[in-house]
Amino acid sequence: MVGGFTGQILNVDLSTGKHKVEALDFQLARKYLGGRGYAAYLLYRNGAHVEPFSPESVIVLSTGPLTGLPGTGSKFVMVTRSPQTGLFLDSYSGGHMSAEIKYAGYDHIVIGGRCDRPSYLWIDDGRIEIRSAAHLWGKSSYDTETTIKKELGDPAVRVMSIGPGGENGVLYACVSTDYYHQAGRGGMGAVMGSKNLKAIAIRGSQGVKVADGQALLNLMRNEMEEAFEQSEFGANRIRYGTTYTTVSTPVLGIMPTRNFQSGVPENIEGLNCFTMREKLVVKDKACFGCQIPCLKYSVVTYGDGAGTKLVGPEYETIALLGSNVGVYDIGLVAKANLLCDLNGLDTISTGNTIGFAMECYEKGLLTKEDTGGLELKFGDHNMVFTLIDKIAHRDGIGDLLADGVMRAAEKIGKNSSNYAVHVKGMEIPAYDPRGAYAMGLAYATASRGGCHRRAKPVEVPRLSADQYSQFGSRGNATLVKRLQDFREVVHSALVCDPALRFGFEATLGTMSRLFKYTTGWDMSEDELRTLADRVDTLIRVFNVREGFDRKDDRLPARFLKDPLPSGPAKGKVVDAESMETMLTEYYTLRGWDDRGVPTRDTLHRLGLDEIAGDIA
Amino acid sequence: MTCSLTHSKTVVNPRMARIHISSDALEAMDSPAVCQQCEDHPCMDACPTGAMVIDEQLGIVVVHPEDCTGCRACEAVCPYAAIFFDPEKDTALKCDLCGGTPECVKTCRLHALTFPTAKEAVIAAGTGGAEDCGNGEDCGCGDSGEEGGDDR
Repeated sequence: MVGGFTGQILNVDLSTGKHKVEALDFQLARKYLGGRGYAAYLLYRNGAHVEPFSPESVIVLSTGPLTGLPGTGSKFVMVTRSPQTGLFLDSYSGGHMSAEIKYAGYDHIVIGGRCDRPSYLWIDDGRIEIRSAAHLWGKSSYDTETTIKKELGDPAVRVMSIGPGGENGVLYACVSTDYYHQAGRGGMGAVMGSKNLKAIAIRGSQGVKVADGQALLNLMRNEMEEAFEQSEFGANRIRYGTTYTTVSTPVLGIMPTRNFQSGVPENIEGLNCFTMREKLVVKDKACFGCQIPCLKYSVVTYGDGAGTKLVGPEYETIALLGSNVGVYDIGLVAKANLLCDLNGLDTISTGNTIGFAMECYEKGLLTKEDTGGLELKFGDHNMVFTLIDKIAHRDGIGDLLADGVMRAAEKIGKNSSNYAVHVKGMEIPAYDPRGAYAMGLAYATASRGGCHRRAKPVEVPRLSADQYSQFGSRGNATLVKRLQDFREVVHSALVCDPALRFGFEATLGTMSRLFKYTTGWDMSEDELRTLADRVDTLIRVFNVREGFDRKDDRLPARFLKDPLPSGPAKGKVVDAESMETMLTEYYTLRGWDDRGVPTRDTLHRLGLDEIAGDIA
Repeated sequence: MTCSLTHSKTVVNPRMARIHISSDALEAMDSPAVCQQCEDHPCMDACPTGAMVIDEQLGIVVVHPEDCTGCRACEAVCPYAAIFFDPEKDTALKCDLCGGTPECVKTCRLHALTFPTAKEAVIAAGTGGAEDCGNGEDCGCGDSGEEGGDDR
C-alpha cells in the first residue's frame, strides 16, 4: 500500500441501491494523483454527452493523497458534467467532510443512477445504506444536517446536503457541508436534486498510513511555520480571511458594482474587511487540519440583518451580494449570504444574476409585468432577500433567474445579453478583467467557465510590469498557465490552495516534499508540472468532446465593449487584439492547436494516446 | 492527527487520538477534551482489571491495553470526558503526555495548547489561563477530527 491513499473507490448505484468497492489503480494515481485529476479520469470514463440530469450522469466525490493528513487544510471535490455549462465541473469545499471520507476508507466515491424517491446516502465505514429523505425534502440545508445528525444519533457525523434550490433544479444550486461550507459553483446541488439525493452522511473510523510521519510533522512545524512567519500575506489571512481582498480590488477599480457597470464601489467602507471584523466577526475558525484559521464566524446584531449567524461572508459574496446589487451594509450582505446557504444557492451566481435582473429593470428590458409587480432596484436589500427565495423556489420571476444570466438573456431578448456577465454560462465572480487583462484570459480558459479559482492574476501584472502587461497581452499567457498548473497539483492533492499560497507561499517544491513524506513517491517538480499539464489537457479533451473550443473561450460583451467609467482602469475595455494574442500564446504553451484542441503530439507526450481518437 | 501519528508512527486516525474536540458547528462552539492528569485518579480507582497504573517516571496514570477489557468504567467516572477507545481493539486511550513532551503542543501553532512547567501553571492559574485550549478560542488545529475557504 502506498501511503496517503486508502486504496479504495466506492461505487454506488442509486437506481438499484447496490454498491461495489473497487481497488484504486496506483499507476493511475501516480499519473493523476487524486482529487481533480483522478476524478477527471473517472468522469471521462463515464462517456460523452451524458445529460447532467439523467440517471446516467455520475457525481465523483474525491479526496487526494494529502487530504486528512498533517500539512495544511483539507478539501474535497465533487466532479460531474455541469447542467449550467455542459462543461466538466469540479466544485470544492473545505470544512471537515473531506477528512471523514478518507477515514471512512475511500479515496473516491462515484455516485450514479437515481433514487426513486427522496433519499439520503449513509456511509458508515464499510456499511452503506440508502435511507428515506421524505421528511427532509423541502427543508433548508441547515435543518437537513441537524435532523440527520439527530436521527443517526451522533453529532460528529459529517453531512453534505442540498436546499430547496437543488431540489428545484436551480442551475447554480450548491452543496453545503458542516453548515457553513459550500461546494458552490456550477450546479452540483441541482445534479444531486435530479438524483433525488437530498444528502450524504459519512462517518469514518479508519486510519490513513503515511510514508514518513516524523518528516511530515517536521516540515509542517518548522519550515512551513518559518515560511508563514515570513509571508507578506499570512497575518492578514488569519485576521481577515478572503475579505482582505476588499482592500485591493476597489483600489484597482475592478470590484463589480451595479452588475459590472463600474469597478469602483460607491461606499466600500460599508463592506470592507475592517468594518466586517469590527461589526460582525466573533471568532476565527479553521477547516480540518489547517493552521491558518481564515474562516470568520459572524453574528449580526443590528438592522435588517439582525439575528444572522454564519461563517462568512467571503470576499466574492461581499462583492456580488453587496456592491454588485448596490447594497453597502455588511450586515445585510451577511443575511443575503445566509439566505443563499439555507436555500442551497451559490452566492456568486445569485448575486451576479440579481444584478443582471436589476440592470434589465433599470433599462426597461424587464418590466413590472415580467416581475409580477416587483420593482427590481439596485440598493434595495429587501428585494435581494425576496429574489433569493423566489429563485430557490422557481417562483414567478425567480423561475427565469434560476437558470442563470445566459439563459435568462436568451428569453428576455432585446440585447439583454449585453448585460449578461458570464463565460460559457457560468456567472463571473468578483474581479473585472478590464483592469487586469490577464484575468480575462483566466476566465476564458478556466475549464468550468467564468471562474476565478484556477488562476487569479489581478495584481501581479501591475506589480511586475517588466514581465507582464496589465492592459495588454505580454507575458500573461505564461502567468495564467503557471497559476493554473499550481492549482492542478494542489486540487489533485487535495488540500487548500489559498492556505498554501497566501499562508505558506508554497511552491511545487513544497508539494513535492509533501508527496514524498505522505506517499513515499519521489515526484520531482518536473513530474508535477507534467502531471498538471496532463490533468488540464485531459479536462480540455473532455470539453472539446462536448463541442467546446476557441469559439467559446470568449469574454462577455460588457468587458469587450463598455469602457469602465471611473477608477485607475477608467476608459478600458479588454481589446480584441490582446485577447486573441493571449489565447494563441496560451494554446501554444499548452500544446493545443489554433482552435484550442490538444494536438496528437501533446497527447502522446502526456501519456494520453488512448483518448486521441475521441476528438479526431 | 498529531496524537495518532506520533503514537502509531505511521497512521493518521483522529479516532485513535487521546485528545478530542466536540463541537456545535452551527454555533461555532468547540470543547476540547484531554486528560487533566488528576492527582486522585478516579479512572484508575474504577478500573476492575488493573489495566491502569501509575507511570513511575511521570507520576501519571497510563493504560496497559493488554489488560483492558473495554468495560468503560474509567470513562464513566472521568470528570473531563477525556478517556477514549481504540475503534478496532476497543481498549482505553488516554493522554500519556508523550513521555514528557506532548507532541500536540508542538503542532498547535496558535498556542491554544500549552504545556507549562509547574511554576508557570501556578502563575497562569491565577489568571485562568493554564488550560488555554479550554474555550477553544483559537483552536482550529483539527487535532481530533471531532470538530465542525470554500468554493466561493
